[in-house]
Order: sequence, then structure tokens, then C-alpha cells
Amino acid sequence: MFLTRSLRSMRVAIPVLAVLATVAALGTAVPRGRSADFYTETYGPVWSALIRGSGFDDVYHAWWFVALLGWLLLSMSVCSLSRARLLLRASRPTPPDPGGKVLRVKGQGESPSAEVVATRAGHWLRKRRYRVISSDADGDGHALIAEKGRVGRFGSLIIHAGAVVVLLGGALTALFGVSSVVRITEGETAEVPDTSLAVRLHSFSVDYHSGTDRVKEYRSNVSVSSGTRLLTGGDIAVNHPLAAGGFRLYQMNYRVDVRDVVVRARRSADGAAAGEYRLRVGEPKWIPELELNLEVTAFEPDFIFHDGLAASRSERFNNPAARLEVSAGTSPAHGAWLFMDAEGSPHAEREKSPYRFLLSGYEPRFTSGVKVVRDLGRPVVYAGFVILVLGSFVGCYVFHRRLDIRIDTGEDGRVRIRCVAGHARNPIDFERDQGKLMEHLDAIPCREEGTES
Amino acid sequence: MTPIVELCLRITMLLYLAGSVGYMLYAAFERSALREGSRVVTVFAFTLHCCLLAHRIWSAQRLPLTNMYETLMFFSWLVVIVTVVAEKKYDVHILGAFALPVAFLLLAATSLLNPDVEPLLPALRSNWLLAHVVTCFLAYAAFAVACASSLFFLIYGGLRRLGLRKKAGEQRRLDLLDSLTYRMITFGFPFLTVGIVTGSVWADVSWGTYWSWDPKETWSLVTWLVYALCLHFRHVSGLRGRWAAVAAIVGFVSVVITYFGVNYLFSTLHAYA
Repeated sequence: MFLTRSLRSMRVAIPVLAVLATVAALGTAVPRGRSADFYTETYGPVWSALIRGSGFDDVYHAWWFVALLGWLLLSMSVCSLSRARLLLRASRPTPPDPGGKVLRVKGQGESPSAEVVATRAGHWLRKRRYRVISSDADGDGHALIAEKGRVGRFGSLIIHAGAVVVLLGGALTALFGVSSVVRITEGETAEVPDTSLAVRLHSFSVDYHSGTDRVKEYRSNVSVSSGTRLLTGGDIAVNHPLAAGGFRLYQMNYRVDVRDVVVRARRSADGAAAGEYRLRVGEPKWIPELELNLEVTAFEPDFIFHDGLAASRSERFNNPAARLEVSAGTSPAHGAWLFMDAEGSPHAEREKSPYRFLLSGYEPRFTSGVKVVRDLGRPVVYAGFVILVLGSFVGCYVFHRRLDIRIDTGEDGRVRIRCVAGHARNPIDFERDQGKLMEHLDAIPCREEGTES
Repeated sequence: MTPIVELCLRITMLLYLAGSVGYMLYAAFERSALREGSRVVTVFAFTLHCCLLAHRIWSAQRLPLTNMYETLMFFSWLVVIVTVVAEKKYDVHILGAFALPVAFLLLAATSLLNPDVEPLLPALRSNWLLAHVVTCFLAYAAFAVACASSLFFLIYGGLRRLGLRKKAGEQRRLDLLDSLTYRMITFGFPFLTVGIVTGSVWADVSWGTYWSWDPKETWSLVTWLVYALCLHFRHVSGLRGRWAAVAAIVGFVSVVITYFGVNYLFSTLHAYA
């Protein structure tokens, strides 16, 4: 059938592999999953239409790319099955090859020398881990079949089987996998979309490398429930996921937020305290005692001015600062950055500001990014990985070698060694083996005429 | 970096460069004195290189595998080891003419990078780091040597076709180079497979997905497919000689893009690598 022939054909498989490799490489050059406007602005209208029309805006999920992978899967399956039959057939024992070119002619003497040579050759080959079968060659001399590494012939078959299993696992992941990222603030619970799970973040902690502001590890202490039933609880950290009810939870990232700050006011005129006020970031608050509207619009844990803009040098609270906007009635708001150790005066003219403000407290709260995954394809893919690795080592390191050696005595009474050598793909090491065998046989002393062997 | 370490690094680079020149002259004129001299220089360079790595391990209190600076030093070290072993095992003495310049360039590239020991990011604190990085770079080193033997195959083959090399045994040398290319690819391919597999498993443990078509992952797959094609050509189509050499060189170009190009051209989760 045409389809079966095409699936088995190397002339089809090799171009498919080449196209897959090329498309995969080209796909890395085009950002994936962006909007039409992005492609138009970046590449121009013509290229944008081409990229989106051809599916290169998400090439690895484009129908034709998936179809190529599917073809590869089918092709490897069909090839492997037909090749398995051939390999099993070829593995059956075969009689020694009677041909072969004469490699050596040894000394003088009668046929017992041939026996000595055959014995020594067999012994040497067995030491080199060849499996040796010796027989009388139709009563005329000796025949040896020396073979090793036969399993190497199955290497490519095992690799293909592994690749098929990996692709099948990938298909299971694509079709049935569930993956969601939820952001949970400390003390709160988040429901995981498309599942019955809810995750509560009890606490979050960050460790730093000693003497630095560099994060060493961060972890979330969570409990996972399904409906009213508690499934499990524990810590999630990077490289240390938590398993719960067929799902796995991964620590992806985190954000530190300050929701509430405390601001202390002091009268500019006499320095008398004017009160302490708790403000929620982003929410304006009317303070009747001050007759002012106060709003904290931003918070930086490690404040720095960078290129004229406020930013944070790190996420550690080394230099906390809050941006306070102050307005009175309908007049425009004025802002200033407040620090723990330095007051600010939000006013058009600072010296006329009736109040001075100091940041006196803040409540940091971590928001943890947790990925929740259920992947039925994972165990299949992992099994495929094992088979793939095994196949690659067997196929690349175990080379099938076979020597059919015939040792007999010619009409002139000299011992002849004939050899038919077969190797799978590694001539360089096999020829060295052959050469060493011949050196070894060369070292056997020839029996002179009239002397005992 | 202390002044003594910097001096050691510069001396190592210069020695590799000197060794490269020696090997190139040997490849051209085949004087045994050039070969022996290049070997001695390479041994000295390699010894210093080992000292540099040992110092890095002592400073960082871990293996030097976590950023571009460290992997450049490690990769160049592996290239020299694989070259020396291949030369000794297969009695081919010209590989250094390509491999040592590669080692020199890799070490020279470290001068463009920050040599400070950086604390590990949370994602890199994993036992998978060792398996993944070592196997990948072992494969890359083998492919570098395969590229070396392929280049010499093409050069000697071209000179022979032009009638400029008519020595006895030249065909035997070409056959040997061809076989060596194949042997290096078969040596490296399983390690690349293990490297990709361990990377996938680590990604699954760290990010919850074993494959996300990240540029680094994708280009490592492209490299794997290119070498798989090389092996297909050889085993199935019986393709040897010139086209097999070209395929091996294309494969190494893919390795270079995977290692360097991806880090600087694309946005990738492997940015720390």
C-alpha cells in the first residue's frame, strides 16, 4: 500500500526529520503567542500576515507541525515493527561462511598445526569476549564463528521505540494535561481553575545567601483541599514540588506586597505630634483631624532613584519608602517619598506644608506564584526517556562483530587462515581487533617438517 | 579574580595558542618534532587549566557549571581531554590543529565575562545540575572533535583531488578520519540524549513541565536531530566521506548556536546558562 510504503520509506522519513529540525529552529526566532499588533509593529504588515497565516506565531502548536510529529510517530512505529521482524530473523544462527580471503599462510607442517591454530584463535577470541562456536569444516580443517555485540543491532530499534513512547506521552500531556498558575497572598486561599482544588497559603519565607541580597530559596507553606476534604499540606520550594490528589504544586515565583502602611504626622509649626494613620496602598483616605486627603500610591522596599525614576534595588526591606499624596479638598495633590528615618513634606512649596510625615510602619505580605499541574503523560514520557537512553547507548556503544574463520591445510601442507569479517558500523575498532588477532596468530611458532608439534 | 589566577589564565590561553600553531605546522609538514613539541606545550597548558578549575571549585565551593564563565572553562577543558584521548586511541595526531584553537577561543571568551563567583539562584540548586551539564558538555566536546576530523577530511581530500597530496597511505588516512568522525558522533550522541533527558526531568521538577519549546530546549533538540540524521545517513544510506563530513560540521554549528547563540539572541529560561 502506498501509505505503508511511505511510512516505511527512508526517503520520506529523512526529509520529515530535516523539516522538523528546520521549522523548530526557525520557530525560536519568532516570539510566540503575541498579538497581531505586535507582529505588525515588529515585522511590518506583510511579514505579520505571513507569520500569522502560516502559524509561526505559535509554530509548535500549528496543525501542520503537530501533523509532522504525528507522521514521525507513525513512521517510526511502522519502521520499527518491520525492522524488528528482520532483525529477529537475522539473529538466528547461520552456518559459517565458506568463503573469505586468505589472511595468513603459516609455516610448514601437517594438519595438527591447523588444530593448534584454531584452538589458539578460539581461546584468544573468547578472552576478547567473543562467543565462539567451532566446528569441523566438513572434515577439512576447522571453522570458527566468533561473534559479539549482537544486541547492538537492536540499538536503533530501541531508540525508535523510546522516541515513539515519548511522543505518545507528549500527546497525552497535550490532550489531557491540566496546568494553572495561581497567585495566593499569605493568609488567603485561592481556588485552582478547572479543578476542585483550593490552596491556602499559611506562610511564606525567603532565605538569602549570607552577606548578600541574593535569594537562596523561597518556600510556601500550604494546605491543599478538595471541597471540604483536606488532601495534604506542606512546603513547596523551587525544585521541591508537593504532590496532592494526583496534582503537583510547583513554586514558580513570588512578589512582596505592602498592603498597609502607617504614617506619622507632625505639625510643621511647632513639631507637635498630629497623629498616626494606617493607610491602605492605593486607597485614598480622608483624615478629618488634618483636613487632608491622604493616599499612599506606591511602596518600594529598597528605594533607589534610577534614571530619574523611583525603583527598588532589591526586594529586601533595606530602605523602605512610601509615596504619599496629600490633597486638601479640591486642590491638586502633592506627593513626597516618606522614609523610616526621613520626613517628607508633600506640598507645592515644601516650606509652607502644614504637616510633615514620616513612614513609621508597614506590613509586608508575600504573594506566592504556584503552578498546579496534573499530567497523565509524564510517566509515559519518563518511560520513553529510559528506553531512549538505553537504546542510544546500545546502538552507539555496542557494535555487532562477526568473524567467520576457516583454518585448513593446503595442498602444499601449509596452514591457511581464511576470514570473512562482518561488522556493524564500526570499522575502525573492528579492524584493530582483526589486526591484533592476526598478530597473535603470527606469534604461534611454525612446526618444522619432521619435528613434533 | 586574583592577579595570580588571571596570570595563570593568560598563560594557559597562550600555551593553547602555541600548541595550536604547532599542530597546524605538523598537519602541514608532518615533522615529528613539531608533534612532540605541541604535545609538551599542550600538557603544560592542560595542567594549568586543571589548576584553574581546581581553584574555581575551591572558591565557589561547588563545581564550576552554573554560568557562562564557568561552562566556558569546563567545555574547553573537556575538548582538550577528548582530543588527547582520541589522538592516542586512534593514532591520529592532527586533531589538535582544530581542537586547540577551539579550547583557546573558549578560554579567551571568558575575558569578556564577569569572573566573580555568584551565589546560586534557587532554580540551580539541584542535583540534576551536575548530570545535565556534564553530559551535555561531554557530548559537545565529542562533536567538536568530530568537526575537527571532518574538517581535516575535507582539507586532505580536497588537496588530494587537486593532486597536491600524493603520499602513499593517504586514502587510508582519509578512511581513518572518516571513521573517527563517525566514532566521535556515536560517542557523543548518547551523552547528548542523556543531557536532554536530564534537562527535561529537571525542568519538570523545577517548572512543572518537561518540555516548553524554550529556545534552549528547542535548539538542543535540533542538534540531536541533526546528529540523528548524520547517523541515519551513515547506517541506512551508507553515506560516508565528504557528505558525512559536511553533516558533522553542520551539527557542530548547531552546537555552537545552542550553546552561545540562544543565550544572546533569544529570550530563554536558561538565561543563567
